[in-house]
Amino acid sequence: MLQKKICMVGAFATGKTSLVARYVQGIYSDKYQTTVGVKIDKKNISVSGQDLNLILWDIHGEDEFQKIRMSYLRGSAAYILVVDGTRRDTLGTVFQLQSKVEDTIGKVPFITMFNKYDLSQDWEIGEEDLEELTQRQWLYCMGSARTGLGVEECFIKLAQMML
Amino acid sequence: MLNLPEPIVTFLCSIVVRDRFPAYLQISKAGVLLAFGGACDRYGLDHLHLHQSVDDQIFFLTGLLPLQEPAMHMPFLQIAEGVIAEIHMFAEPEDDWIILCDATLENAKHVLIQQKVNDLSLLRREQAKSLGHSMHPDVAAKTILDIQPTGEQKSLAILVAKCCSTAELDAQTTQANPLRKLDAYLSTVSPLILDEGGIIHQNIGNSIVAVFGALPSTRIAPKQAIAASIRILEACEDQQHSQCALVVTTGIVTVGLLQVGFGKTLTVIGEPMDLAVNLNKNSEAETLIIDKPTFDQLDQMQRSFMPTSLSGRSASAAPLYSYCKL
Repeated sequence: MLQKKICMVGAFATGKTSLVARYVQGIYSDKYQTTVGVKIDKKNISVSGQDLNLILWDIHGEDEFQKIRMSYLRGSAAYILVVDGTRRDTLGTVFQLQSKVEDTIGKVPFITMFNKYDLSQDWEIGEEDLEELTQRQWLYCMGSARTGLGVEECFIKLAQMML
Repeated sequence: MLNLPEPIVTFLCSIVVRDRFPAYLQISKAGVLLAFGGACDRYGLDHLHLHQSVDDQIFFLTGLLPLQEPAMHMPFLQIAEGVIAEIHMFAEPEDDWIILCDATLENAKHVLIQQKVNDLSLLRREQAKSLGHSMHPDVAAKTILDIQPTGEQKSLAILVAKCCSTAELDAQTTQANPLRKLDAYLSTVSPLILDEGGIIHQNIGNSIVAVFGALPSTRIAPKQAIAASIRILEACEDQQHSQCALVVTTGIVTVGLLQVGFGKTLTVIGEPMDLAVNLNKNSEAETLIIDKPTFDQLDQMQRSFMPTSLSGRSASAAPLYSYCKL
């Protein structure tokens, strides 16, 4: 079976671990538990008649104390940039991270996921932010690890881009 | 090599074997498992088959082999439920070697600290958001800010952070748009100021003015302002394309709430504010300039500052100090 490594990348507390837990196990917890290092999970899927084994690397969030080791990204076939839509500064973090990732592993498919879309009253992402992503030709989607909105679709879309 | 007696080496090895549950894998450049041993089952690596591809057996190695560099280290990798492995990988001419050691306890310690750091950072952000948007300024001043809404004299530290990398507007290149650059700069700088207990007072052109000491804190205001400044310098260094010039002054100011337009805003008047804004005009990129009252309150951190002068400033003016990374 074809195996593909996918990395989850973004600032801390954007919901990377929750997105993986929602996608792989179908579960969600409101309790925030920080990740130190990497948690690896896997999920078998079938896309366009092709069986795929996705190896999901949930990498700790970037902050001033924990910088992401780019060696974690070696061999990635794709990655998801996770933004917390209720903290606009986390979009700035993924802009920085994306160029570092591309320097390390080259151009591979990626999607920007705006997580926590269920918290619409706290939403800080504006039209101009989405416009910037469009100008950069970045694919993006809205989602929520809490409700499951857009999560499966995001991974499937990325899998299709890898094939 | 360290000149260690054999009993010491033996003892240290026995500790590693006893406490860290080492395991190893030897894998050919073609990705075939040549040998394995140690506590493999601890890492979920049971039922391994020799002379077969590792792709289907050891999923965390997907994409990593053959090694492109002489060695690779991954300190915390959770590959089995409840067990965190520290992984060392190194390349030999014919094979790649992988060593796994248990790092669960070490990881738990890091998680404890990181969790507190992240929780605090999120909490401060929420507080700042409440101050700025949700709470009535009078209520905020009485309950959260350590000031009288009608005004009072208070010792505060003032930080002015100027973004130096904005160019003129170029309609042809959207990403070089100075407003976007400034926006990215403000997004980077603002959380760092809030994290260190500061309040963003206002934006003037391409500068942010922040005050420290208006929120209750166990640290003195100048130290909070310097901590924020050093973090801003480091963040700008990380971003490569951003450059900033920082000034911190300290002293007695009049602080209170003034009706501006339809709402009340925090207002700070006094010599330290004027000095910070004036100094910032002439300060150069990648510098942190502080005044003497700030310097006098820094204790051991004084070692990181050297006397300096600014162009256009008279020699008889009060001394200034410049940050030098140790």
